[in-house]
Amino acid sequence: MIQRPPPEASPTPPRTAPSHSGRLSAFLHETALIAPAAILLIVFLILPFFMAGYLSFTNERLVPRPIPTRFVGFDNYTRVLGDPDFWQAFRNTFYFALLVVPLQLSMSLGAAMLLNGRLRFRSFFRSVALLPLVTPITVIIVIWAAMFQIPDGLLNNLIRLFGYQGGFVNWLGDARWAMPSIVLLSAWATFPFQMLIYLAGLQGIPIERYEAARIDGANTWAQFRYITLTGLRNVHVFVIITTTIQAFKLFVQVDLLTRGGPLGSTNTLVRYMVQEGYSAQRIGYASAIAVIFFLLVATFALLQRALIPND
Amino acid sequence: MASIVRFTLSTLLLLALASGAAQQITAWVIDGESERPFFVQVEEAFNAAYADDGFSVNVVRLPSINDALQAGFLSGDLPGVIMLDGPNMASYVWSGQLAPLDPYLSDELLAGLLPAIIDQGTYSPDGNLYAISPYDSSVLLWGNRSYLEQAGVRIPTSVADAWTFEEMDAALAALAELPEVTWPVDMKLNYTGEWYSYGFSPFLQACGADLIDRETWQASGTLDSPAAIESLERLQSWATNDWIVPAAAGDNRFFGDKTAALAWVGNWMWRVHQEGLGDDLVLIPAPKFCGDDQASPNGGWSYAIPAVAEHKEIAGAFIEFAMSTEQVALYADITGYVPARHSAIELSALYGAGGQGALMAEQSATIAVVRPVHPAYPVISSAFGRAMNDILEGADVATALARAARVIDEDIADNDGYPPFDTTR
Amino acid sequence: MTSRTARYVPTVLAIVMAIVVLVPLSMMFTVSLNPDEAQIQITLGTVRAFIPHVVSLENYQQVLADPHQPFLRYLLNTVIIVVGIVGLGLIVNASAAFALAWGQGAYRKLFIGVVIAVYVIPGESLVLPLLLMMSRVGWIDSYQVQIVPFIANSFAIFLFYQFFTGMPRELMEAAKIDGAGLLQTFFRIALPLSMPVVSTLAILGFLDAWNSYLWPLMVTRGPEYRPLSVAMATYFTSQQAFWGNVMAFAVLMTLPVLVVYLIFQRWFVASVMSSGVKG
Repeated sequence: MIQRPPPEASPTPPRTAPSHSGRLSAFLHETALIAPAAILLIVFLILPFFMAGYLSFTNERLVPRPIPTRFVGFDNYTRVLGDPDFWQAFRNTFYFALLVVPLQLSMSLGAAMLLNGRLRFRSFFRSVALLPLVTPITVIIVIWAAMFQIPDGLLNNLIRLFGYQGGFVNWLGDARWAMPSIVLLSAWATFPFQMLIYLAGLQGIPIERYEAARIDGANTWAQFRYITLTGLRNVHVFVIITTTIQAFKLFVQVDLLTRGGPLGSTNTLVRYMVQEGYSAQRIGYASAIAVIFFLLVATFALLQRALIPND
Repeated sequence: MASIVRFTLSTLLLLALASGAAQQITAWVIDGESERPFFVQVEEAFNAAYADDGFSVNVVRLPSINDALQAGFLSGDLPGVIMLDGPNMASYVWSGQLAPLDPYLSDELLAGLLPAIIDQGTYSPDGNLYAISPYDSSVLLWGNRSYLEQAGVRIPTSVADAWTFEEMDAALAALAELPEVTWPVDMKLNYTGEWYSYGFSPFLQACGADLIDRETWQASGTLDSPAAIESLERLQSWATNDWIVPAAAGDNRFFGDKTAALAWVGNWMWRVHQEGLGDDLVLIPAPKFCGDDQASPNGGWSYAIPAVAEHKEIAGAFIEFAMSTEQVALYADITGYVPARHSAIELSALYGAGGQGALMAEQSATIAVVRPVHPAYPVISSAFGRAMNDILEGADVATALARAARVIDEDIADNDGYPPFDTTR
Repeated sequence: MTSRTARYVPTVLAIVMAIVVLVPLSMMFTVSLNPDEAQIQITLGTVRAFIPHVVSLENYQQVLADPHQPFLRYLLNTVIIVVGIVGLGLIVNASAAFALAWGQGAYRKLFIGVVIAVYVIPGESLVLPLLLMMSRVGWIDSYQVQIVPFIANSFAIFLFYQFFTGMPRELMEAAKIDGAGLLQTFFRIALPLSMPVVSTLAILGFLDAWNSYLWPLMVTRGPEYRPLSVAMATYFTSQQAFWGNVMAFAVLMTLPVLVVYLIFQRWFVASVMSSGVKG
C-alpha cells in the first residue's frame, strides 16, 4: 500500500440538536479518546523536536557539570560545517545512497518481475526471497561478518575462484572496499521490501496492455520499457525516495562492522551525530547535526509528496 | 594502625545495625577473561569474612562497564562500589560523581601503595584520593622464541639493553621473511577504546612529545609537535609494510595460530600467552623508540565510591578488603599485573624474589609515564585514539594529530578550561 | 536463443536468487551446529560451511547457559517491550484516530495535519534530546524508557484513521440511536472491527523490536533491560573468535520471527508492505 494523504474532509455525523449535557458528555468522550495520544505525541515527539533546535544553540552536555550551560549562537553550526569529518560523513552518506539505491532497486525489480511472471514453485521462491526481511538486522550483520573474513572467508574464496590473483581483499579493513561491502550487505538485507512494493505495482498493470503490445509487434524489451517501467512510474518515485531516506539513516551496519572506519570511510551522518552526542556527550553540538540531518530527510520526503500526484 | 581499622569496622557495624537497612552492597567490576577468577573468589572471601558482621557484597561483572557507568551517572542509579578506568577519574570527580576514599581507608594501606597508584588516583585540586587500583600495568613486547632465533634476532632481557628503533625495524623485516610468519607483530589493533591511547602514547613520550602539555593543558604544540609527527611516522611505516596484524584478523594471531611473531600488549595477556606458547614465550622490554629513550604506559582499572552511593562505609570496607596484601597479591598472580602494594609484591609468586615478573616491575619502576590526570582525559583519549587508528590505516600523520589537538583544545575551551584546572598554569 | 531454452531462463534466475538468499542463512545454521571452533575456522570459507555435516547442540547449550549473556532474559525483555508498545499503542492510537474520524471538534483538521507532518521527522534527529530528557527524569535503564516514548505513533494513528473513516455511517447512527456515546461506540463497535489494522501494527511492532538498535543501545547498560538486538551485537563483539556460539545465538534470536512469519505469512506480507521497517 502506498501512503497517501487522507481525504481532506472527514465524514461528520449529522447533528440532531443535542442537549447541553449531551454536548458536554460528547466533549468529554472525545477528549478522553484523543488526550492520551495528543499528550504522548507532544511530550515524546514535538517537544524533543523543538528541543533539538534549541539545544543546537547551546553548549549543553549529556552529564551534568559544575559550570553553567551557555548560549553559543551559531557556533555549533559553524563548527559542524567547518569540520572535515562532517563533510566526510556527508559524502559517505550520499555515496552509500548512490550505490545502494540502484543496486537494491534492480535486485528488487528483477525479483518482482520473476515472481510476477510464469514461474514454477512461485510461492516457494517468494517465501525464500522474503527471508532476509524476517532476519533481524544484527543477525544479518553477524552472518556477513563471517563471510567478509580474511584471508579465507567465503567472499575471498569466491573471488579467487573467479580468478582473483592478489591474495585477499580486506573487505571491511580497506578504505576502498569497506563502503561497497556495506552496500552489498545492506542491499541483501532489505531488497525484499522494495520487491513486495514492485510486486504490488506490477499486479496493478492490466495484462491487456501487454497483449495489445504483443499484437502490435512490440518485443520483450519494448514491453518492459514502455509498459512495465511506465506503469510503475509512481511506484518508482515512492521506492526511490523511501529507499534513499532509509539509506541516509545508515548506522547499525557501520557501527558494528567498521566503527566508521577505516579512515572514516564508512562514517555516516547518523554515526557522526551519535559519536558526538552520545560517546563524546556534546549534546549541543550533536543537536546541530540532528537539525541538519532533519532538513536533509525532510527535503527528500517533501520531494516525494511533490512528485506523486494526489488522487 | 590495626586498632584504627578495628575501630572503624566496629563503628561501621554499629551504623549498619542502627540503620537497620539492607547490609548488602553491590560492586560493579570489569569482566575480563583474566580477571574473572579473581572477582569470583574476592566475593566469596569478603562474604565469608564479614558474615558475622552482617555485611555482604554482590560482585557484578559487566562486559562493557564504561557504558554502564555512563548510564549510571545519567540516571543516578549506581552501586556502592564501582570500578573505573584510572585516567577517567578526574573527569568523574570534576562532574561531582565520586566520593573521596581517604576517610574509608586505613593509613597502613595508603602508606604502602606504589607511587604510580597514588598519582593516578589523586585529584590535584583537593589532593584527595578518589580511585584506587589493585594493580599497576605495563606494556611490553611478547616474543615467540623459536621465530626470533630462526630469524637470528637478539633477545634483550632488561630495560637497559632494549632494542633501539633501528634494531626493532630490522628484526621485523627479518621476521617478515619467515614462512610461518604472516605479520611480524601484533599490536592489538582489534582492541577498541582506551587501548589506542594507552598502548600507543608511549611512542610519543619516548620521543619527547606527549598527549597534552601538562603545565598549560594545551594539546596544540605538543600533540602535533614535529617530534610527535616523526615518531608516529616511524610507527606508521610498519603498518604500511604490512608488518602489523590488521584489526580484522582478530585476537589470536600471536598465541593461537602463531602467524604473528611478536605482540605489543599488556600484562593481562600473560596467562593466554603462556598457555599458547609455553616455553617459547619470551618477554622483551619496550623499545628505545627515539635514540636512547623509551616509555611504557601504566595504571589501570580502579575501585571508587560513587557520590550517590548508600552505605559508603560498607563500600569502604569492601575496598579495604579487596586492597589487602593477600588480595592484591592474588590479583597479580591471577591476572599477571604488577601488585599495587609493596607488601603484596613480596607475597606474589610472579613478582616476588625470583619471579618471572621482574621485567614488568622494572618497567613500571623506571620508564612508566602516567596518563594525564585532567578532566578532559576522556576527550584526549578518544581524540588521540582516533588519530592513532587513522594513522595506522595510512592517514597523513601531521593532519591526524593536528585534528586531535584541535578537538582536545576545543573541548577544554567549551568547558571554560575545566575550572579550577584553568588556573594551574 | 531458442524459445525452448528461453523457457528455462526464469527458473534459472529464480534458483540463482534463492542461492544468494539461502547461502548466508544456511551458513548460520551450519556453523551453529558445529561444536569444533578450530574446524569452523578452517571451513568457514568453503562449501562445508553451508551444508551441515556435524549436528550437535553444544553451542546452543553454551549460549543458553551463559550467565553473563542470559539469552532468555533478553528474549523476555524484548517480548515485554513489544507487548508494551503494541498493546498500549493499540488503545492510544486507535482511540485518537476514532475521535479524529467521528468526533466533532474543530481541532481535528489541525491534528491530522500535525500527524502527517511529524511523520517526516526521522527518529534519528530526536534521539539525543530524548536521551537528555530521559536521563534528567531518571528513566535510563528501564522498560518504560523503551516503551512509553513509542506508544503514540503517527503512522499507526494514520492507518487507524484511514480505516475508521471508511466505516459506514449507518453503523455510527445505529449506535447513537442505541444511546451509545463516542467512547462506547469506539470500544464496542470500532475497535473490534479494526482487527486487520491491529494485526498489521502488531506484526510491524514485532519486527521493529527485533531490529531496533540505536535507542536501546543508548538507554540500557546490561542484561536487566536490554533487548535481543543489542545483546546480539554485544555478544558478537565479545565472542569474536567463537563463531559457533555467535551463530547459535543468531539462530535462537531469528527463530521467533521465523515462526511468526511461517504462521502468518499472508498478513506478514501485507503488513510489511505498508511500511518500511528496517534500517
